Amino acid sequence: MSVATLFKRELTGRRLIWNVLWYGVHFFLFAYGWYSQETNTRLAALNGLKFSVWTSRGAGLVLAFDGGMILLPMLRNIIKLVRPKLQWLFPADENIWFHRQVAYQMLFWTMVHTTAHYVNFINVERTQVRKQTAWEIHYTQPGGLTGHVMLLIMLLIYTTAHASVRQQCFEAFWYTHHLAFFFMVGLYTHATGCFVRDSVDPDYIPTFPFYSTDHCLGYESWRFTIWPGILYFGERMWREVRARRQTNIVKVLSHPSGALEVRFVKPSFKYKAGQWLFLNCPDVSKFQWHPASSTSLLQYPFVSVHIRQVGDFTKAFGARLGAQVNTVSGEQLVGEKDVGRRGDFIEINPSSIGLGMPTLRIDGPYGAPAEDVFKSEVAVLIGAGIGVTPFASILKHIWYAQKAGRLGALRRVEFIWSCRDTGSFGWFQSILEEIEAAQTDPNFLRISASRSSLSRRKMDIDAVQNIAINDVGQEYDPLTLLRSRTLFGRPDFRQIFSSLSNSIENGSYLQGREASLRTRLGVYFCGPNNLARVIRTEAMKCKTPNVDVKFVKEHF
Amino acid sequence: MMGKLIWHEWGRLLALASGSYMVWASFWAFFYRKFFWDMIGGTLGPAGIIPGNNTKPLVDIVVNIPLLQIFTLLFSLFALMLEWPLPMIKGTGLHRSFLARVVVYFLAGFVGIMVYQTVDCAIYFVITSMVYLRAHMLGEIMRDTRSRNGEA
Repeated sequence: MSVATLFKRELTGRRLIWNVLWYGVHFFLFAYGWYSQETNTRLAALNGLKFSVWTSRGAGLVLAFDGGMILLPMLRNIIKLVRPKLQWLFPADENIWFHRQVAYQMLFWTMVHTTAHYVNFINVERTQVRKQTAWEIHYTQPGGLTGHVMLLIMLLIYTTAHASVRQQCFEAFWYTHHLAFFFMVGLYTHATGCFVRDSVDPDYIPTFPFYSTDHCLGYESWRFTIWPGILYFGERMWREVRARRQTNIVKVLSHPSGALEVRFVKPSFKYKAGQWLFLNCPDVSKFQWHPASSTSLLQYPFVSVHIRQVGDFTKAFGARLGAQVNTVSGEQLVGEKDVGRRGDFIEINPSSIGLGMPTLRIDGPYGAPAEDVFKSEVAVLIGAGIGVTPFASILKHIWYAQKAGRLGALRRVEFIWSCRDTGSFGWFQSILEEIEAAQTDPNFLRISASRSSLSRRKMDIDAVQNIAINDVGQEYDPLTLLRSRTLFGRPDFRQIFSSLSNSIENGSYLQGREASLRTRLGVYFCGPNNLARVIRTEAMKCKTPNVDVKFVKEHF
Repeated sequence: MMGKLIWHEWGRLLALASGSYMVWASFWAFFYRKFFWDMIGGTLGPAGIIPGNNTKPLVDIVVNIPLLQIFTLLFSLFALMLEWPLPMIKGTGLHRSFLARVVVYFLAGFVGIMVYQTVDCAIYFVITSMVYLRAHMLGEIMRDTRSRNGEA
């Protein structure tokens, strides 16, 4: 992205409001902290240090604010509770993004704060405003000591949270991030050394918080910032308890191309279609929790998740359940006589490998329920790559609602599925086949699958020709085995949305609907961020006085 | 452990963090000059610590001539050039060598621990050095240069 487009993006629309508020709050707090220190006559002695102490105090206030904010986006259960009411105010699914924004601010203001303190302490030593040396303040007093510990923890947390490390070794990121416990303790106790005071010596008292506020004149920010910490700690404890409630695996199915379907029963687990959960198998990894979207429906007597065996955890989990990759050969691509179904699943008995049924722990559910879909007349669901998984339950859910005649406002569904390699989503295709076969109204659901790249590595030229030959006159598409045809190349979203909005506008899309009514168009996307931006831009162009557009990026 | 951590890639991030910290700290060390260990044998006077005779030579090369600061600045700039890396360094034997980093970063830590402002990042450099030592012992190979010089 060029600098010009970056500026344009940051300085328009919602980004602009965010940037003004976010940086505004930070600079305001810095300025206020600076001002309150400089004008405090009781701190005249400290103010002899001039700019460095004003800077450190300003940045200190900003850091107190960030320290209070950093855990808020991680309060997953509380976010889930408040999101229906506050969805308009903040994008609840962008919690990790917000967590990172706080972390970036923290890093910058830590640099400012620490730099200023290095000047402060050397000047305390030189002026002897207090009978102390710089090294004593740094390494023997609570403020300095907790500060240096927090810095070291930040080094470890920030470097292991880098995308490259997270992807290659999730544990390194996951375990290191739990140093945050000590970081937060450091933050809450940072001012207990009473550095900001109007007395010669720290005014310690025998009762909590062990220093007197008569002479220790810090911000007392811990009184506020500790609450998110307590809430988060409570949440983690609650999640541990909840995850340990009775959970039994009832069935393990191995689907083609290494997809694993785990069906379990957990009576205490209440969820809605489209939500996701964290899954843990102590036999594989005690502390590793993996996100997975639920692919079952409330109507089912079990909860199911589909897991692709691609990462080390998922492979080890599969092995523990007795399902190795390629248990079912799924690659009957082209040229097969039987085009009815793509390699069926087989049921696996985990007890057969002699270890018994493994313990399963489930933490969740999280995320928005799919009910939202029924609020718009037209729903466009776009899944890219592995991003199709949440749509499995959403589509099933729509299908059930359709059968029960509870579609709400929903009149038409467009499902666009874009991926490199359709072969690895055999299980997903069988779900689509079911839904497609059940359609009575040919206009209600339209599925378009597209292969975004025809790389020679994945598919040779023979296969392409084979498709071209086999495709003619066949009822089913040779690649997806759906009635809907596979398109090649990345879908042209500009064209898709412009023709969609045209046909809505001229009334041909939703026949029988009053043209004067405002049509709500809901676009639901799950996939990579850069594609999300493209689709959002294109979708928003559909916005007219007659068409209202909503874009939602699904997370899982 | 399940995931396979590539130690030298983490080491690179640590080195970039330690290096940036040390560049910034060295800059300040030119303006507020202090030999960190001057309390050993020193006495507290009306204008701070009066260093003892035992540390005199070391105090000299921090306070009178900012020699160690120059060293920390050079070490940290070198670390950044090596890790980013500069186009002319990329793919060279030096860039591929983990042992060279183990040595250089340990030295950066050794020098850095003497200067008041660079004590923390000196410790970070020692940690970085140990992470690279681990990468070396595990027999890791620099990935992006291997295909260009080796297999191609």
